[in-house]
Formats: sequence, structure tokens, C-alpha cells
Amino acid sequence: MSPRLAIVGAGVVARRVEKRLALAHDGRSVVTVDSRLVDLATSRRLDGVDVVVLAQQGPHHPAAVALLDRGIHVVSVGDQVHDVAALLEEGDRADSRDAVLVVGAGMWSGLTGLMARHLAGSFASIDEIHLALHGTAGPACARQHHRALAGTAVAFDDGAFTSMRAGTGRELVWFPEPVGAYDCYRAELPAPMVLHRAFPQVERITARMSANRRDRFTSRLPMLTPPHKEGGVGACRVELRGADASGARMTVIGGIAEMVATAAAATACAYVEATIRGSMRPGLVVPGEESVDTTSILRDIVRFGVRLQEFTGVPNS
Amino acid sequence: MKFVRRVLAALTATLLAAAAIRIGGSGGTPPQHGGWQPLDLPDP
Repeated sequence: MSPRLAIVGAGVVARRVEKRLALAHDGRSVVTVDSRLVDLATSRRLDGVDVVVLAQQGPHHPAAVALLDRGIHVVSVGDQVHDVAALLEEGDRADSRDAVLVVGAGMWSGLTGLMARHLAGSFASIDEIHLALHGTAGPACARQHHRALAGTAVAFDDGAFTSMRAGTGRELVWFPEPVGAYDCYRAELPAPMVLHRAFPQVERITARMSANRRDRFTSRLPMLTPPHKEGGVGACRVELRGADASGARMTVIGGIAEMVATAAAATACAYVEATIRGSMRPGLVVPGEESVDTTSILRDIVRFGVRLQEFTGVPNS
Repeated sequence: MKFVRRVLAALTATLLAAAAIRIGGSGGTPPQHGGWQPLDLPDP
């Protein structure tokens, strides 16, 4: 019997997840639910649903709790720091309900975490992971991007989480073409918290986000203009530093350049596929976790239309 | 007549200089190695 899937949300990412899941398997039942209109804890529309993708704006924690209590697997693409922190504490609940809870299954924590795990295979030990992000998906994502520059940035540094003012710490980052180089700044992103779960031995984990002067200048004000229906081509970049088997220092860089909603939807869909296959044990799953078959999930992401890239050194002829 | 000769001489000098730069330029092929390349995923 074909698994029943549901999507909570009506934004760009939710629509793209729905389209990809329906295309991936003919005859698969995909239900769309608006969490503002129905109670997820009791809604009859979710009867018999196996996996729910949470792609709505706002916090995902209350919805995830309601769904886990019904024994439904949950894949969340949420990227608000406090919401993700609350979701990371729900591992025992998921485990007790024999359900999988995937946290941060979008582009910013999900895809970067998976790429970091894949690239980590080249190292004997990793010391540092540095993430950089560019672009937004739909309007809700753009508003979150705006708020993230005015909040408190979290980083993992020398064995402890540190907080710094968002919008500081400029660094010029080269993303895959056609995005190219952008100045990136600290921002209120949950990726360091999520990746620390997957890479507890790593001493430094940072995340930066691209911004221009106007973004930084207006970050503490309401958005002056309504956000676009969908941002342009976005990008993410994952840089790992560590040592090889001989102890020599090495750096490996991966990334993508893609519409953010497409990359987020592909990552969420790949996690749905992995959940349906039963390749993840019940409980909390964070992107890049060693116990999960990262390669097969990355292969699904490629199948869903995202081109993964690796920086192989200074171009020459 | 003198003016026409000067103009022709100037045009000829410009053309010769442009040709020398164009022919003498190294040109070459675009980068074949390095840069961003597709990530290799192991076969299942």
C-alpha cells in the first residue's frame, strides 16, 4: 500500500514539496493541510497519514508535538532558532511514539549538514565547520532572513555556545556560480545548534548569511518593501577544516547554487523518502547524523533536481 | 590634401596597433581544472 503523506503549509516550499512528492511516485496520496484552519491533533484529514512535512511559517514545535503524539513521522523545515531548540528536545517523545522527527530538513541546516557529513569522509578528524548562506525562498523566508540579521547569532566555539550580535563579522564568501562572491555576516541561524548534535567533536561551528548595506541598515526596522514572491538563485557553502590521516591540515569546501525553495523542498522530500524506506530509527534525526545513510539522502536530493558541487581549487588551464 | 594624408596615416597606425595587440594577445583556453565541480557521490 502506498504511504500517505501530508504537507502543512501553503508557501513556496510547501507547494514545491507537494509537487515533487506527487511526481516521485504515481498514485501517492499527498494531503495539504493549513494549520491555521485545522487542529493537527484531532483533524480527520490526517487519519492514516504516515509522514507529515512541516513547511508552514511560524513555529513548528506545537505542530510537531501534536503529530508525534498521533504517532506520525514529522519532517520539519523550520529554521527559527528558538523553535529548532524546542524541537531538538522532543527526541524522547518521538522515540516513545515510534516516530521519526527530522529537525532542520530544509536547505540551511539540512542540506548543509548532509554535505558536511559527506565531505567529512575525506578527513581523519574535523575541527571546524563554517556555513554560509545566500538567498531566500518565499516571503515568510525573506521576513525570517530580515529578522535574523537583527537578532543574536549563535556559534559553537571552543567547546561552548557563544552569542554575538547578528549583522557583525563580515566575511567575503565565494559561492558556486552564478551566485559568486558576497559579503556574509553572523545571523540568528539554528545551523550551529543542529550541526553540533551531528558533529559533537567539532570545536568551531559558525554560520553566516549574505547581506548588503541596506539589509543591515534596516534590519531592526520593519521590512520597508513587501518581499518578493520568491527570491532569486540562492546558494549555500560548507567549509570543513581538519586533518588527514598523516596529520596534515586540510580544507574541503562544498556548496550549491539553486533556488532556495527548490533546495529546501528537495531536502525535505529526500528525508520523506528515507523515512518511508525505514532507513532512519525512530526518535530525533538531525542532518549529518552519522547513523543515517547520508549518501542515499544526497542521491535523492540530486534526483529531486539539486546540483551538489565541490570546490576543487583555484581554476587553471 | 595634407589633412587627408594625416588622417589616413593616423587610421593606418591605429589599425596596425590594434592588429598587433589582437594577434600578439595570449588568448588561450578557459580554465580546465579547479573551480566548482559536481560532487561525486559513491554508487549504491
